[in-house]
This record gives sequence, structure tokens and C-alpha cells, in this order.
Amino acid sequence: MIRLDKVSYQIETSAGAVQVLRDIDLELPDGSISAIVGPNGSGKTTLARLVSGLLRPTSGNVQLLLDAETHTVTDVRPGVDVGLVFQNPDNQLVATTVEDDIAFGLENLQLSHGEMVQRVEDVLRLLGLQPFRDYPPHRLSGGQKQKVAIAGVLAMKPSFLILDEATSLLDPTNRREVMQTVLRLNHELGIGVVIVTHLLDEVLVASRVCVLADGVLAAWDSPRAVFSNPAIVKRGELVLPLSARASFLLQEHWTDFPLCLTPEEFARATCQLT
Amino acid sequence: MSIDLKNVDYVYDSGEPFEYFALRGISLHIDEGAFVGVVGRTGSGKSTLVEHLNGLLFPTRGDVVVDDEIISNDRKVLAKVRRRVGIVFQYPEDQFFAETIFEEVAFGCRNYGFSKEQVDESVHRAMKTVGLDPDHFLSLSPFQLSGGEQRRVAIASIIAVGQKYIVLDEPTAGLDSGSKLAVLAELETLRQATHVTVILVSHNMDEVAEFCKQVIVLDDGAVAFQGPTDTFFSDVTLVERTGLELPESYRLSRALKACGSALTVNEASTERMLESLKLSVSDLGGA
Amino acid sequence: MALSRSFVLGQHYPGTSIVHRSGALVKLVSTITLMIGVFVATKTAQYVPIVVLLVAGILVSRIPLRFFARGLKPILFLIVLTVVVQMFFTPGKIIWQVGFVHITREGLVLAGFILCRLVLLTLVSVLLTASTSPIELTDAVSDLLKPLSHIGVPSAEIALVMSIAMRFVPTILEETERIIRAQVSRGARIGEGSLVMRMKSLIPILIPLFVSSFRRADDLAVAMEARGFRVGDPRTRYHARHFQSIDVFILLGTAAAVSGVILWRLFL
Ligand SMILES: Nc1ncnc2c1ncn2[C@@H]1O[C@H](COP(=O)(O)OP(=O)(O)OP(=O)(O)O)[C@@H](O)[C@H]1O
Ligand SMILES: Nc1ncnc2c1ncn2[C@@H]1O[C@H](COP(=O)(O)OP(=O)(O)OP(=O)(O)O)[C@@H](O)[C@H]1O
Ligand SMILES: [Mg+2]
Ligand SMILES: [Mg+2]
Repeated sequence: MIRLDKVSYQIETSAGAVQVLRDIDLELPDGSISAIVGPNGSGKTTLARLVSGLLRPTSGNVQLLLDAETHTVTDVRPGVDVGLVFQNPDNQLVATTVEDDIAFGLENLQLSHGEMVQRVEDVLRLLGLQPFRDYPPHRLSGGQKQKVAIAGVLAMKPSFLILDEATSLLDPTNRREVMQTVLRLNHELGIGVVIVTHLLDEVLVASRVCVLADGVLAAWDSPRAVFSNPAIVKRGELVLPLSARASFLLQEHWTDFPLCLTPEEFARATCQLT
Repeated sequence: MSIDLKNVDYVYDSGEPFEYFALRGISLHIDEGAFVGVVGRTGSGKSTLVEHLNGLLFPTRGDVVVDDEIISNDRKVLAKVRRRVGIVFQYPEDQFFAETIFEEVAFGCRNYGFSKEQVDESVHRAMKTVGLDPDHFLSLSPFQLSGGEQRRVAIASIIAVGQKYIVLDEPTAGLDSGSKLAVLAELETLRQATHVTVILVSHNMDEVAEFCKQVIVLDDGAVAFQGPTDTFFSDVTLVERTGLELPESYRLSRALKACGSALTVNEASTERMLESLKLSVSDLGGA
Repeated sequence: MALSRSFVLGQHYPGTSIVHRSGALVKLVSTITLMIGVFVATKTAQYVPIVVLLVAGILVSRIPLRFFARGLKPILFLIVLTVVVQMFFTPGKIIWQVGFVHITREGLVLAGFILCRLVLLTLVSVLLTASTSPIELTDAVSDLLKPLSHIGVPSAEIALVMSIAMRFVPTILEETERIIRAQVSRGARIGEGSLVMRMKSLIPILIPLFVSSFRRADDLAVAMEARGFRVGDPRTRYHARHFQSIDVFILLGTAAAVSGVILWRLFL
């Protein structure tokens, strides 16, 4: 489990200190799926970098809880404990071929040659990237590049994977494919997932949503609880799912009509109407 | 007046070992004053198509006609065409170079030889169109803005020129949900007020359904569909075959039908769908 | 043609031929040796072993000849210039003259040699970079520099920087194209008008390019750190180096050809 305890982050700029995040408390259980949402500039990327150990909080702690009984904690090691994938795949691929890029992180871990080959093969297979192993990055499509970026992170076997708007440059097909891959990894390997996103579909797969507004935690709750609270929706400048808007419309007539988040759920609920 | 493509083929690196057919036999008609969506999966040729509309690329075969002007590599023709067709590229804030937002937005106007007064007037008008207060913003550096503000300035720098046709390549990518809607709504207002033609390239089907009455669907470099957006999204097999997805409002009305709900709604974009849902609710005589 | 695709020198042409599969260090050393040979040779016949070796390499590599032809294109101007200069300005026995323009026999011979050298040098390097993946090549450079790390040369870091540079050349060329298109769409006229105007028209291209390269570098640093990279920390290598019999073959072949040239030059 990753635990954030009163985490604040401040940067010094020429215009003085800017408080980017203030007093964030979060617990991300192993194997869970969480989402981080909020308007542009609310501090999502900063939070993602803090969680992955790339930034150190100005005050407070980001720690990995190793043993809940004895409360042993350690600092988060980037790559090893938490893998981060962000928006522009072009800026994340380091090496000149797919295969070598996946190996980059493994070289940093100083693994033996045999172990590296094994892991590269495993990840290529897992993500269906074998046909592209010798491709240079600039001959891949956006979706393929983003998969390579994920592969490079996965090969290091982190216990958490953070996607910072990692699908925002992709078309619906590729986006769905990348998301399905991530969910499968969560399901099969038990990797914890944190999704930073502006897209509704991606929020809805999370069991908990962290809503940021102006660097402050506005909510840390299930998607249903978040979307049913108008105050939170307003603070996080969220757009309601259409099904939720339709549910509210029906609630004007049937006060006990449930809040639905997906079309399927909504349709099923309307069949119960008398 | 309109933009017409007649049997356009485009081949990248023609005659080279890596030669690639990006467009095949594209014939299109885009009416003046329309709000047209261009959709298709990655690599289907959307950006290549867009670059034909103002002579950045020339067809390998076929003709691109902008209001009776056949695009060719002739300087006079190009100047004329570019004066009529403006393109907002993907991540347009990546092209910022000026010290102030005023200079950034004025760049296009100056290139087209506007007088000082015209430049001033156009810049102010464009900033207001995209919802940014000129008095506050014009003297700031474009680099110090938030993501959503930068995108708006970039769009303003194109619409300031006052072209008849405005093409936007994924203008809402990376914006938060609020700014997404706002930017498109601003374009729609502009269209209604000045009768410009807006051509929107997008991966987001919800926004296409919401704002574009007409849609052009590309698949593997060819036109797979051209016509009313509603018609396209009601053909589920075609939507799937072209690698796209249904907008949420269409999924909702289909889900209602599929589970035999007493409520029925039109397959339409969000607002119209909600309207018909209201009607259906009152028909049911909701208690 | 697209800027990013017209650069052949330094581009990898993947394949499975013997030339592709042999060790990068061996190929690098052979290339350097062959280049030395090209400079040492002074007689037509002395080029024969080098040309034979090169042609054999090209044929065995199964890289299309077109690819090599494109490799020559960027230096075509250089070749034509030096050949013309040599042809017309070398003193000696005049064999053709119109007015004060003349061609000498010596000039013709010299021009021929220079043409031969430039073409050979280019082809040899295209063969190396086309048949060797950039990562193998950088590893080879790192190996070659390894002895220097004892005197403080950071050979591993140099190799990494080289590979990142190679990785980003196509990306940045593409970016440049994109920015040019965008500014042209905003009515910019690039490279038109007086010299001052031309220089000025580059500003809207160079500044965004600069800014985006900075952002890229920044992102890249984060991405590398996110994958556990720390400057100066030891790393293992994914590419194991194995010496194969074919490597010995190539080395011996080159060594024989070039030492033949040198011996001939010295003693015959
Ligand atoms: N290095 C920095 N220098 C100056 N300001 C910074 C820096 N890093 C972050 N900020 C500021 O901190 C705030 C939060 O930035 P952050 O990138 O975390 O936002 P975000 O929620 O990820 O936004 P987006 O949705 O646009 O990605 C912004 O106001 C930003 O301007
Ligand atoms: N400069 C180029 N040289 C060669 N091929 C290119 C070039 N630019 C694009 N292509 C190829 O042409 C095809 C169409 O590309 P295009 O960029 O038009 O697609 P798109 O529909 O805009 O995709 P996306 O949704 O990813 O933006 C792709 O397969 C692409 O690889
Ligand atoms: Mg961010
Ligand atoms: Mg595109």
C-alpha cells in the first residue's frame, strides 16, 4: 500500500513560492484501481510524480507500507515500486528500438543478461508487441508507442502503475486497447493502478476517485459518491456522465430512481420502473 | 461557395521504397457555413487530408477546389487559398514564439498585410470570441498561461485572420472536460455569427455528435461515409467497421431499446436525446 | 520528400544477413580500417581490394542499392564541388582549353581520385550504419572508448548520449516539419525576400523548436528517472557481445586488404 500523509508540495518561482498541493492524505491499497481527476493545473501531474517517488514532498510523507502489522515503511523507489507512464510517448522512449527500450529500465536495475532477455520476451508477449521488436520508435503509431512505454515500465515489475493522461493522444480503438491491457494486468498480476484522466470512461473503472481542485483534495471517494455530490462536481469542474444527467431527470418524477453512471445501468434501472 | 475534392489520391514518398498510399480516391463536398466532423482511426489519413485544404500538400492525382480556385503550386493561388482556409494544428500552442499574446495573435494578420487598426481590431475580436479578456491577457507572455488558455490563444491566432474556412485538428486533446465544451461552444457561436465553415477533426465521438451536423468518415485513406452525423451513428456496423465508437447518447438510447424499457428516446446527440427523454417520461405520466 | 526520411546516413536498414548479424565492434573497427585504407591508397590498383570488399559487403547485406544511392545524395554537392575545383585548378599538362578555362591531365586524375575516395568513404559508412542497429553501434563506440575510461572519459555516458541523439533525430526533424507547416498556415513566408527577411522568417520556427526541445529534454529526464536511471550509477548491458566466426572472417579480410594496400604503397 502507498500512503500519503499530509503531503504538500511547493515550488519556488521567480514570482515567489507557489503552493501546488496542500495537505493531501491518501491510501492506495495494493491491487486497487484509483483515478485522479481535476481541471487543468489542479496538480494532478505533480501528485502523480510525488506518488511515484520522482518528487519529494515539501512537507509530509509518501511511503510504501510493507507490513501493516509492524508498520514498516520505506520510501517509494521510482520504477521499482511505481511505474509512471505519461502523455507523450515520444518523450518517454529512450532507445532506438522497441526491444532495447524495454530493456532500458532493466539495465538500470543491473539485472543479469539472462534475466533481462527473459523479462523482455515476457513483456513483448504480454502486450503483443513481438512483431515490432526491431522497430525504431518513429515508425510506430501513437497507440503502439504508448504500449511500448507501458511495456518498458512493466518489465521492471513495479507494484503500481500510474498512467498520467496516457491515452489522451490515442484514438478510441487504441485507447480501449491500452485500457483493457492495463485492466488485465491489474486483474492477472494484481498491479495497483492509478489513472490520471479527463475522460469519463476511465474514471468509471476506478474504485476510488481523487478529485483535486486548486491543489486541495476535494474528494476521495467512489465514482458514484463523487458524481452524486453536486458540490464536488462543481469544485472539480467535472462533467457528469450523460447517464447521470438522465438519472437526475428521472428523479424529478421517480424520487427513488437510482443514480446510474453507464447507459447499460441506466437502461436496466428504467426497466424496474412501474 | 464550397470546398470540393475530386478523386484525390495522395502518396507519401512516391516511387521510393517506403511509398505509402495515404489517400485513395477521395471525393468530398464541404458547404460554406457548415460544421463538419472528420473522423477515422489513427492513420486513416485525416491529417493528410487536412493538409490538402490549404496547399501544404498537393494531390498526387485529382483536384482540390476551394471556391472555384483549383489548388496548385502557384504562388498567387496559394496565397489566395491560404487567405481563405486557416488550420489549427494539433497542439497549436507548440507554435508559440512571440513575447506577448498580442504579438502571437497578430502574427497571421501581419503576414496578410492588415493595417495597424485592422490588426488591433481583429486581435481584440478574436480574443473575445475565445472567451479571454483582451485587457487582461494581451500583454502577458503566451508561455505563462494554463493549458486551456494557451489552446484558446492558439485558436484566436487563427480566427483573427478572419478566414472563411477554419480547420481544427483535435483542438480539445488534453483539455479538461469543462474547457473542451467551452472551446467548441465558442466555435459554434462564431460560426453562427459570421457564417464561417468549421471543419473539426476529432477522436471524441461525443463532441462530434454534439457539434457536427455533417460528418466525413475516413477509413484506410478512403471515404467510408459522408453525410448527416445522425445517419452515420445509427449504422452500428459501419461505426464498428471504421474502428470508431458510438457517442454516449446513442449508446444510451440503444441500451434502452435492447432491454425493452418502457422509455424510448431518439438516437441523437446529448441535448436532443435528453429532450426526447423528457417527452417520453411525461408520456409515461411519471408520478 | 519528407525531411525526416531523406536522411539515409545514420539510418538503420534492418535485415538478417551475415553483415547485419556480425558484431558491431568488428564492423566499426573494419570500417575505420577501410577508411584508413582509402586514404592510404594512391594507385588505382590499390583500390581494388577495398572496392572488392565493399561490393561484397553491400551484396551480402541485401540492402537495396537504392538506399546507398540515397546516401550519396546529400554529399553530391560536396563531391561535385571538389571534383570541379580539382579538375580546373590543378596545374599540369593541359589537355583541353577554352579561353582561360582549362583542364589538366593531373587535374583529371586527382579529381578522379577524390571522387573515388568520397564515394568510397560514404558507402563504407552507409554500410556500417545501415547494417548495424544504432544501439549496437553505440555499444561498440563505448567499447572502443573503454580503455579511455581509466583516464576519466565517461565512455558509457557518451554512448548513451549518442544513442539518445540518434533516437531523437527523426523525431525532431518531424517536429520541424510540423512547425513549418503550422507557421506557413498562419501566412508566414519562409525563405522569401531579402536576406534580413529570410533570417527573420526563421524566428517563428526556431523558437518553438527550441522550446519544444527543452520540454522534450525535461520529459525525457523524468521518464529516464522514472525507470530507475541515475547518472553515474552502474548499469548492466542488454546486448551481450559474442564473437562469432564470421567476425573473425570480416576482421581478417579487412586486415588483409588494407595491409596489402599499405605494404604495396610502402614497398612497391
Ligand atoms: N516546474 C514548475 N514551474 C512552475 N509551475 C509549475 C511547475 N510544475 C507545476 N507547476 C504549476 O503547478 C500547478 C499544477 O500543475 P500540474 O502539472 O500538476 O497540473 P495538472 O493537474 O497535471 O494539469 P493538466 O490537466 O493540464 O495536466 C500548475 O498551476 C502549474 O503551473
Ligand atoms: N511524412 C510522412 N511520410 C510518410 N508517411 C506518412 C507521413 N505522414 C503520415 N504518413 C502516413 O500516412 C498515413 C496517414 O497519416 P495521417 O497523419 O494523415 O493519419 P491521421 O488520420 O491524421 O492519424 P491520427 O489520428 O493518428 O492523427 C499514416 O499511415 C502515416 O503513417
Ligand atoms: Mg498533467
Ligand atoms: Mg492526425
